[in-house]
Amino acid sequence: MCQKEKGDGDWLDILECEDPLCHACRLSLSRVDFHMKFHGYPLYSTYLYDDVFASMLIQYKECFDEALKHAFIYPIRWWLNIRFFGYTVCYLPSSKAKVGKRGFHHLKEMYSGLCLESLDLFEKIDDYDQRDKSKEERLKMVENIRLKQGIKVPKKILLVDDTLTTGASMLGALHALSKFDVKICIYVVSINRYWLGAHGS
Amino acid sequence: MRCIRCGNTDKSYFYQGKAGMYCRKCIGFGRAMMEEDHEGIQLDQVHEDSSEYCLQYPLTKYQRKASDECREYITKMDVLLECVCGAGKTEMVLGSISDALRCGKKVCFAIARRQVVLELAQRLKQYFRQAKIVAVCGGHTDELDGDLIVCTTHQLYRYHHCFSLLILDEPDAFPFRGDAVLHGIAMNACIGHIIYLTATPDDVLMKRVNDGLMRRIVLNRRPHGKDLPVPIIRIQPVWMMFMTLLYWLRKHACKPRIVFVPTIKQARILGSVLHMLMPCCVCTSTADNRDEIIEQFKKDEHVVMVATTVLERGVTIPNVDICIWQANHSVFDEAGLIQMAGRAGRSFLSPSGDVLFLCNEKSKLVGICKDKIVQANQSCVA
Repeated sequence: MCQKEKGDGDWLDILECEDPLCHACRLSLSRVDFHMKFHGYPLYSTYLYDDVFASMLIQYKECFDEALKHAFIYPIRWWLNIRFFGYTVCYLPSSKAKVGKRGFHHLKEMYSGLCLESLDLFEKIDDYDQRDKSKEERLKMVENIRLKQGIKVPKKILLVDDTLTTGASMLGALHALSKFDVKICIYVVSINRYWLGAHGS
Repeated sequence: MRCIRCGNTDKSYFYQGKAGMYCRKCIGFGRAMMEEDHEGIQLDQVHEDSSEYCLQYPLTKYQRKASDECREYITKMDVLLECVCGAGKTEMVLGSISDALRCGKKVCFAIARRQVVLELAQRLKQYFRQAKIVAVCGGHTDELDGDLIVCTTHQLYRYHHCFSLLILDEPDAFPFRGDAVLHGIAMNACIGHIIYLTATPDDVLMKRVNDGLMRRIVLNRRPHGKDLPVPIIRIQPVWMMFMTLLYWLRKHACKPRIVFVPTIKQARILGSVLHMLMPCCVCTSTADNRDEIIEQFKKDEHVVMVATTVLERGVTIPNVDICIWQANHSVFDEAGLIQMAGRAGRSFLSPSGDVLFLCNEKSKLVGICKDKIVQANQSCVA
């Protein structure tokens, strides 16, 4: 992120040599380790969605910087592996056009460092991009997510996304799973101030 | 391996992703794949009569000499046009622009700062009435092609090997200065030669001049022929600096005054304090309506503007006096101080201006800045 070589003036980089971010960039992210109930399901989040996180996410998603794929969950990868042992990671659907343009599914790659099973369970009914959409338009996503046909739904699901903004996509995924008797937990890398203020952990 | 967009050759910046190899140094402009041909946009032919231009005032004999020299050398090598603030650098390159357009060559005028792009595009439209002049900057990216393109240095990434003549205004200004990616992108956009316009060339440009790779043309005289205002330096404790500032503002109450401060926070505080005593506005990089604030300031002569370095370059306000609050602050560099002082005494109607440097500590840099302005004035006499 800072465009400097790792270890450039910070010896902690040598200890955390596998972290894609340097120590200074890692510290610039606001860690909140947040926990709340989202429509009755436990939701966990690690970072605050602020300007620094937003610029990192934009670099990854919009500038297609695949090298950042492990940067988001690197510090909590072991906690996720242990806490959600036995769960199947199911990522929320992304716009097909965007995935084609990027050349990779940003959530699939983001969580690829975990030792958990993963499954591409959902798809969008109408393939539109949520970026730059108003809150009202984003809320339409609740009706716009369905399960892919011919895929067996696992018993324990960890729903994952990069950030929780309005929560519409997550709610859409929960709606799609509502007919099934499955245990669901949610993990999002970042959460915005609205959720932090509304539900203190 | 070499990035086709920014020219980076450092292997550590390249990453092999699922879609292929790409450069991470210029990733902020989007992913540039190494395997793909980077075509960029296709530009139309230059219009035939686009090279004609008319000036409202004729060039002075010194400007004409510099302009002719620039026209002569730009066909052979890059040119550094080193002129004091307000010397009319833009007018001096019109001849070179016209020559290039006459030969059907695409010309680009690139500037580091967005707010200067729109102002300059308007000025150039008045000079080149037949040419299609397009301003390209944040918020103005619908039209990208014209005979003469005026853009920010960031927008040059759109133009791959497009320009036969590139004019880089203030290459020593933030954010262009020291940014290897922007430098690489500028080099990539130009297939011909570059004219660098600045009052304060940095070491990199001077090294190229000394190596014989670039022609340096110097003009230390403004069109009106008057000397540059030499700053008065006052070293005082902060409370006394404030009293001096109030006295200075009262003394020059009949003219517009800009008080430059080093930080946004200081601009807000000083702006609120001064607002209680006199009409005052604040202009910083965080103000969304900067253009409106500047326009309003130009209209009202009795207003004080508190500004950060966002206004240090490219803004011409007639008859303005300048004060730099805490000129010894580490935010200000030598080039910045000279540029800020250079806002005063630019117009024909008011060729003299008053410049005050308020410092709370003795500063070598402030002294050097004053010496350079004095030297520039003396070189004119010689």
